[in-house]
Amino acid sequence: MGASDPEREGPESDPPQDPIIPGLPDEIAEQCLLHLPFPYHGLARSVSPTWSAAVPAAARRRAFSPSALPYLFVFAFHRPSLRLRCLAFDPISSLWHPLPPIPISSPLLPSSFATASIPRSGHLFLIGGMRSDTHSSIPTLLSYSVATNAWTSAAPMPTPRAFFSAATIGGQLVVAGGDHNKVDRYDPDADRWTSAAAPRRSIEQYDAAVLGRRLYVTGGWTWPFHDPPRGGVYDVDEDTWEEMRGGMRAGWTGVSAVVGDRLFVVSECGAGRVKAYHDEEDTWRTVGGGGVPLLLGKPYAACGMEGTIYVVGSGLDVGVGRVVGDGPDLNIEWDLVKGPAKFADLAPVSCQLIYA
Amino acid sequence: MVGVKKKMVTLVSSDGVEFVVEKRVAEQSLFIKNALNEGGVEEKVMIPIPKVTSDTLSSVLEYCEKHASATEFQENEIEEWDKEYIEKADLDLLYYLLQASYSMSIMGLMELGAKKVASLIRGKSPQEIRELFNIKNDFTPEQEEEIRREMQWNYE
Repeated sequence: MGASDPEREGPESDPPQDPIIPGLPDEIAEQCLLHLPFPYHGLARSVSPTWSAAVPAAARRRAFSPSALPYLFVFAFHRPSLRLRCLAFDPISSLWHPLPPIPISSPLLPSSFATASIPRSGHLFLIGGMRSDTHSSIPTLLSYSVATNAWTSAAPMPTPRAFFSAATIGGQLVVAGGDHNKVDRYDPDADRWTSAAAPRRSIEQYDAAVLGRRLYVTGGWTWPFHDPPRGGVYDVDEDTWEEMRGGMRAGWTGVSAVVGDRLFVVSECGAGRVKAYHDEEDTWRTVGGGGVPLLLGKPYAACGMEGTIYVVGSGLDVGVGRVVGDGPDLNIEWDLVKGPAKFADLAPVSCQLIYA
Repeated sequence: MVGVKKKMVTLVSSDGVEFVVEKRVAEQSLFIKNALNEGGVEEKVMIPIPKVTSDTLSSVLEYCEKHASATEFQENEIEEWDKEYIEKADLDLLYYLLQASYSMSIMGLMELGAKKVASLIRGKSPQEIRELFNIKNDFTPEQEEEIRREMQWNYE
């Protein structure tokens, strides 16, 4: 079929496209590829030129389909070499899949860059940072797509940025803080940056989280600092900032994770105590279940998805915390998935959720 | 909706074999359901199923029969049954089932077959995938080299 298609395009007269799977109509073969889970896409693309085109197309559609599965994408530093790596963790099989090397020319200082993801479009971002050799900030935006399993350079930020916050809200990337008190927004479809409203006073970068369509940025908690750090809340629809409420700011003492519409922090002080924010009283309450497993070594990177908090620790051990109950009876049941021995030298920086 | 007397319909495979089945079984196929709804049921009790041979149709109807009674089973029981059903199909039958479920609009069977094919791809090398599906490797040497370079990190 299609052998005598008169509207063939291409510089040379291309031979007719081979079927994806000989013996099956392409529309059916495409349905089959739709069920191929993420880590196998890369390999499947090298089967034939036809597969090389069909697999990413199926992967893109898969991200929106009910068969898409959540993966935890973890950025980690290899301590001896300071090389930054990215790996995907499959919570169902507990297997790790390495991503292609991140195409950055010079090493970055740990936690100087920001990361973000758009869970349902299969995109992961690595933004800005500070070069460890020249100590200068960079404007780079790297985008990874699970559909192609490849990193690409996207439009750089209007200005270089390091030690700042980033998050995606409604498919848009928002970056705030860092070298200057400016906020920029990035539209991945248009590959374009626009400037957005800035908070009245700059906020030091400590941690950030998205709840609903608002970005919460905190500069850290009061003790042991003399000046209370600030916190701001950005409304993406109104393009406005307001001050973070006092209780929220005071108790935000660790890395955050959002599960459903509930904000949790894994506290940096105390033995991995987990607190949940209660909006009605503007207060944090300790969650039952005894905190993250004691064997989990710092630093922590945390991420919430589908009723579960994932806390990645040193050596890529993963604390898997299932959130049960609600209100005052909130509880987390913890399991520990040990990282493979070969990851002993990896220290996590951040983790992101993507459906693939 | 469900009549006291069982309504039957006759399906005719592409090689002319007649299958008499309950209407509710046949209606697992949206194609047949629509065909029955279009004309009065009485005149349309004989439905030709083009491009589906008797061997394939008999296997398709085995699936439809089970799923027409799905409410009588526990969910995991029907899942187990599906697993066994698709496991015993060889690659040829799997292809026929996929094409039949596609043309007859039996979404559940289509998905079951597609998942099975995807599971055959999983964990195989590109060469093993080519051998399984009889796919020509028509990458140019340059393209192949580029892909090898791209994939190299995977084998580090």
